[in-house]
Amino acid sequence: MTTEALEAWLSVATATGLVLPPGEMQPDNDGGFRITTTLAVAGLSVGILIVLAHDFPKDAPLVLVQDSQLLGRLPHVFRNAGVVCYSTSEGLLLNRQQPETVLTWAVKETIRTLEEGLGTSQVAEFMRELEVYWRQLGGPEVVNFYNPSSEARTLTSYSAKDNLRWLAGAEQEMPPRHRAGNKLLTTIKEKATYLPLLPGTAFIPPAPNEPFWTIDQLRELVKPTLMAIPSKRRRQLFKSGRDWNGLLVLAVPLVGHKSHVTLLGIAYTSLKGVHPLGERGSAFDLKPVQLLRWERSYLLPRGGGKMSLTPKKVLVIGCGAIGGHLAHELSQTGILYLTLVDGDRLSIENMHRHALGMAGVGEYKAIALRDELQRKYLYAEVTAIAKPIEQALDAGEIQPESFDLVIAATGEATLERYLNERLRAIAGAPPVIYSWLEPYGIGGHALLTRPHQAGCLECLYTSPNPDAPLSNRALFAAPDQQFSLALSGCGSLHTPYASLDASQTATLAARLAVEALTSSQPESPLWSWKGSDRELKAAGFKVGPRYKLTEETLRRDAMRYIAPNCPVCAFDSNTNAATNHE
Amino acid sequence: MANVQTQFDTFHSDKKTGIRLGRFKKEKQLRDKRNVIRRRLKANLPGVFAKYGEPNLVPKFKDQGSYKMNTGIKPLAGGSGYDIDQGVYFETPKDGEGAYSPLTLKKRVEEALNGLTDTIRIRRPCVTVFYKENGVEEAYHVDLAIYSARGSNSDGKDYLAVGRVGDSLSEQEWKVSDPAGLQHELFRRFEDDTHGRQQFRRIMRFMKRWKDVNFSSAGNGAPRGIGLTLNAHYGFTPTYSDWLNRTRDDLGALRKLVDDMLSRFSHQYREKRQEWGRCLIAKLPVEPVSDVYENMTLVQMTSFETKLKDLKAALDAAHEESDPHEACKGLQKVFGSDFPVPAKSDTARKAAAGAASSGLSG
Repeated sequence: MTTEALEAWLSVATATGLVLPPGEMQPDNDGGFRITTTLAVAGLSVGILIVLAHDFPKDAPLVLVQDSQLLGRLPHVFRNAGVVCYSTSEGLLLNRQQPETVLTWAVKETIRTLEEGLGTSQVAEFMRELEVYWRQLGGPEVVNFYNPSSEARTLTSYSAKDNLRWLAGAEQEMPPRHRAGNKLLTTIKEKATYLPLLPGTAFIPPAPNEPFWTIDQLRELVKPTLMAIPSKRRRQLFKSGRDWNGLLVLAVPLVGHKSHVTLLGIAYTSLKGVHPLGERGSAFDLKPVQLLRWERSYLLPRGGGKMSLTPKKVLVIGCGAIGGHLAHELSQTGILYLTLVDGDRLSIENMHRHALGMAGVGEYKAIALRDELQRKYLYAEVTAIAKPIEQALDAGEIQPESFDLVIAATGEATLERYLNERLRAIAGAPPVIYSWLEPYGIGGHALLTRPHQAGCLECLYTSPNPDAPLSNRALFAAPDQQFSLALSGCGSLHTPYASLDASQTATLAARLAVEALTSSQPESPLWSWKGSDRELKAAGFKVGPRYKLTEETLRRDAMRYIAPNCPVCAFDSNTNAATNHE
Repeated sequence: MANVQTQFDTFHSDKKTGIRLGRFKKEKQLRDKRNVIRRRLKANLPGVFAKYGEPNLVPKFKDQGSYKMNTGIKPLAGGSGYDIDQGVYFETPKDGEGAYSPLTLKKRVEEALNGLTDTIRIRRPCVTVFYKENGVEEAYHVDLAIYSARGSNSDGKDYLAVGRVGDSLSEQEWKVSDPAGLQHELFRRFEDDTHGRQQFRRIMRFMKRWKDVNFSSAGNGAPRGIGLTLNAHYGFTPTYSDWLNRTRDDLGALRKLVDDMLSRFSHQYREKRQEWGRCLIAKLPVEPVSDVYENMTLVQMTSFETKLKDLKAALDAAHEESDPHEACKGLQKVFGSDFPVPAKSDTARKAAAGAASSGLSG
């Protein structure tokens, strides 16, 4: 913004009373500007500084309250520097072409923010941003794994070396690597008390430049909450004994939210070894603690995961290009319990199209993928079985009926037809998704099948014409073409497809998996994505009739693959229908 | 169940023996004639109107009928021959001051074409120009449907001139007619379904050929082609042996259609003939929303139903038959000798391959 434009804005703003004289503007050292002025807020005259960076209005102007008297009393103002939090920076679209409108907007929002903070909603405004003010207090950091509930209870706080501290209710709540089984961690345990405050509890948090709460202030604050707890339960919670050090966790209901809470940590030291909320004494030292919200009920929805998926158990057969991407996608949707089966090691030729990349080369795919997922996703609980699925089934290492869903992406048509028949014959077998992709980016497919429902993998191999060559009817490429390429002899045969094709197919299969697991998909559809046929044709191959259908038609046809004469599902779905009628 | 789709494909589309009337080859002759007629009318009509002291009317032309809908079939030898339908639209009102009677306007057209061929005849729904070929009189013809165009009528509808020489004024009629609207109605459901549309056309052609083979062409004995088209409109569903790849199953589609038609035969009142009787109705989905079978007698209806039952029996037998040779011999009986019958040797089962390329990866 030019000096002239800024001066013009200032004179207009002064004339209309938006900012009050003396409005002073001076360039700063970084090529930006600083405007020192005064705003009329709720009958007060508040001195402010507006800072415009050299590239304003790429970012909104910074507005700082200059009046130190006011700082401690104003919500939405950072108490040390006085920065006014007048707008969220996320999802904001600034009018870069008209910088003066951005300035006017910033000043108006500042006035609104300060007026609200000084008005009747002062405490409520503080409560709205409680977590921010608490963070300004500093103090040690403790990772929280406890999923907040509405009952007061005792938790355990763990300390390991390197100042690593965390908090949990039960062992199972913690990520696998934090559990007792992890021999790398030597921990010291301490008692912690979780106390959800009554809804409507409101207060102004301590300011960073003021002394922290005294024990009496704290007791006053939690008194109504404690009174609501039956006295017997209260005695259990706050029983004295060896409580020289401990942690209090206050869960403050977030204004306007039903289940969200702000967690405030308070460390206490007791000279007598008693609980600060159980005894009358005053020999307690309280310090703020910052609780890091790592608990799964907070993290999974924040990352777009679905909480309803976390308890689901999914068996992934085949950890190749599709399986690798798929396992990642499933973990990211919040599916924590994965079992991966694959007897192969990752070869370097497949590095570029495998989700593991170089990290997995030479390793068993199932094991390397398990390690990768557990490294990436805190709560992932992955089991790896590095042997062919038939062997794992024969040895009883896998009980398919104990899973909520099976996904097969082996790329081996014969094996998967065998699995289709074998899995459907198991009592209580879960739904199975088969997913495969075609060469040269022409497309990929995912088929959801359910036991005792018509529609299975064999349907795709069941031709109405007994003379037709054996082939998968869903394929976009014409049947019985030999796509495998050998770049250096028979030993390195591979089918030409790229990571993008594999990951797009994995995404399709993962979406189908989520639908199957959340019961939003009661049917057994065949989903296909259709890519370009340019490369396939350039390589001298042909597309089949299905490729010529529109995407809309493919979607509409999702259930049309079912073969009434399928030797596998026509029978077992009929018998099911018969038993249903009885 | 034998697979006879190959034979249906040949029966329909084979260049030499197929029943499909191509729009670009065989019909070129008809198109040429149609164009000659168009030019002749434009050239001669001003003189004809002037002769009668009438204001000149400039005709507009639109293709219509099976040519326009691309559902035409080749005629049987000795049948009524090829034809093409041509709509001729005049900006003149059907009633009120200065209105033509249907017959008068048709006579003007006839007069303008006078001498073009040996035979030009005014029939009730049209003016027909007959052509000779290889010594055969009336080898093929162009039907001209004469209209009072919608722009001249207060209700915004096109009216067809109905009436022939000898009809009294009360027997003549301006009949509301909307061939373009009909075509739109018939094909609307196939707007984004090429395979369904193609099968619909094939099935209509099979039904028309069945009609030509099984009914004598004289009089109203045979159900009209447009009637069979309407029956297909109400009773046809696209049928594939493999939906995923849209593998045609014309036998299946025909069986469904014929079953549907037979199920619609019932005892009902026939308004035009003012009689009760067992019949099938083919109602136009556009104005005049009439039954195109209304002129068929009950005796003809009975014969229609009997022949449809024979067709159903033949289709069902072909479906049950495991040998394509036998299945096609049965179909030949209802569709005529153009329906191909494969030799016995062609139909032995091929041994299945033990392995094929899967074409997929994981």
